[in-house]
Amino acid sequence: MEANNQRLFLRWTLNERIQHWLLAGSFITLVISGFALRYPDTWWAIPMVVGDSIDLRSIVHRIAATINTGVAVYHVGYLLFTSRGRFQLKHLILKPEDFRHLRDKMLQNLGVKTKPIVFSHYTYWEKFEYWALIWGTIVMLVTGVSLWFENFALQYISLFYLDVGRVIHYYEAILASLSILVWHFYFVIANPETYPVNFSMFNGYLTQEEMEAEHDGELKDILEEEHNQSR
Amino acid sequence: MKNILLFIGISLSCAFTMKAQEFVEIENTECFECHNDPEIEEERSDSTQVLFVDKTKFTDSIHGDMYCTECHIDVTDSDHDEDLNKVTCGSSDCHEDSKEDIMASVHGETAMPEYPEDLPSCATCHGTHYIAEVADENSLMSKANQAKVCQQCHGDAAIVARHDISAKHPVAEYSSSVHGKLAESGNNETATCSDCHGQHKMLHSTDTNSTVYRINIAETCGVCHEAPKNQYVIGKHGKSVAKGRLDAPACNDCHFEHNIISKNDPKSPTATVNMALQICSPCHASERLVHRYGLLTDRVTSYEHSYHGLALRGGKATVANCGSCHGVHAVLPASDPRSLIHPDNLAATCGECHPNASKNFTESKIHLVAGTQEMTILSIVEQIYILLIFAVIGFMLLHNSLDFFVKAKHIRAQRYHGSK
Repeated sequence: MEANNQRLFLRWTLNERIQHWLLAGSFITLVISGFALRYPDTWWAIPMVVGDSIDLRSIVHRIAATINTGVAVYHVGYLLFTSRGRFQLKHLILKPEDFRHLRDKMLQNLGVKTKPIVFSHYTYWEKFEYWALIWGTIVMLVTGVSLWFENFALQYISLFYLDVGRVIHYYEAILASLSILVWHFYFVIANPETYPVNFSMFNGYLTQEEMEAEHDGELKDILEEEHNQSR
Repeated sequence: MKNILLFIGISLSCAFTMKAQEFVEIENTECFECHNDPEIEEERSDSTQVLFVDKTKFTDSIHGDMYCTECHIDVTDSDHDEDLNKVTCGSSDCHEDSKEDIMASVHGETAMPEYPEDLPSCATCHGTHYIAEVADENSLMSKANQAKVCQQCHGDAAIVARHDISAKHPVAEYSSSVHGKLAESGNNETATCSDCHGQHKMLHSTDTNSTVYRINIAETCGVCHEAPKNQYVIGKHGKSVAKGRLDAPACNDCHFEHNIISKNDPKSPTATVNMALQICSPCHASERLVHRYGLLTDRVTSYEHSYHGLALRGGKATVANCGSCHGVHAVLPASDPRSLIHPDNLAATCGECHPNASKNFTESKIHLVAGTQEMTILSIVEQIYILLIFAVIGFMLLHNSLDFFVKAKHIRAQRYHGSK
């Protein structure tokens, strides 16, 4: 596939893009409707606390949580039971070289010469973020469900654990929101080589230039394979 | 001693002569020959005095079978002087008790020596010729009318300011209160001004004999609200007030006084959403009172930080507030077996909202305050997370700003020098 004389490489299938946007939409809704509980007097909480009742906020939060959980469960099935999913999972597994890449990239940015870094399908920053997201989702799901179904949870655990859960839910939410803002939005938006946006989130494709910048190893493999096949 | 006896003697004889006030029996029909004429009027130096008396209305009044001269005692002849003395209701043997009460009250003759013109007379409240029984809806002192009569003075900003009366708009507030609205709708059992403040012997709220003195308020409200009063007097608040600890709340500290509105009204301090902040916190979050009476600390802040508190602040009215667990009128310490938070009663109390509330539920601390083991653990979790957030996000910022500046420099070099 080509656009503007540039060859395009498939990055995300439609299925994966739908997963991403369902996740993104439910995540942002969860962030706003969640912090609106703690900060009901702020301007951004206004749509969540219309009228005299907080019920809207909690209903919105729970609907978004259900969508988020649904996507998470679907995603696990997708990774395990589709060939495309297994391909993704294989490339997502953390390897020692990812930590070396992180160290070397920072050293390079500080002006220290290192071995050249070759990025394959996923860069270290994508992998770290992915697994942080998985971790965060599990933490939020466990604490969130116990707070949602508090009467059920209290038959098995003491009220104190719900208080612990509430504290964790709050701080993990801060950690998650800031991570998305600082880490994810940097790499897909603010990054000078990417700005204004990494378009693959919309159409699913990366340009050859983008492949060269962030997935040079993978690009080399693809081109080599094509070369071998055409021979 | 002799002097005192003499004084008593003179006083008694004076009282006796006052009692034996003589009047001349002149048939009322004679008076009405002139005074039943609506045209009869006389220009006085200060104001126009209405001299007309409606014969029928007078005859129907509570004094309708009396001689006019029984009150207008200086009329001895149907052809009387133009300048008559003011009628004094309490100087005959009629309303002596009321007079005594009034004299001892905040409305007594000596109560406002600086502004005697502000003194209400008997007529100010009761009217003159057409006084009806209080139970009669036409009476100025009926449930429906009384507040309007008091309003004449207590709604006058100048009078309120002149006498430094603490209640600035008592009647306006009363009119929109549950009591006032009932009175207006014709309810004859509701409370009007005199039901709480007393009738003639109205005393200042700082007077220990006043019906609205702090210690007496529960008794005053209890005349109608007996069940809440009986609860209140066994509770910590009621007992404290009875002991004379005036910092403890009386009925009006939670319900207000003139503007008492239903707890179902979201503007009411007793409404679920307002209770913690408007009723309990002024005392239980007060450094002064917490220190003075050794109250448990951080009750309000720990509530506010709990899920109940957060949901309540957002306006969720079904969530538990202070009263849901501690009770409202009979607030009792957990050690009292009658207390809603006594260990034996917790399952039932929490169970109001959380069915099957088990031991897991009732054995945990509700108010997580500094110093408890639970709070220590929570603080540690908090500290770990805060540390984690600073470390992770800080590292991300470091990593990304390095990356940003190197890439930006690179792009800038490309742009201005065309070199890679």
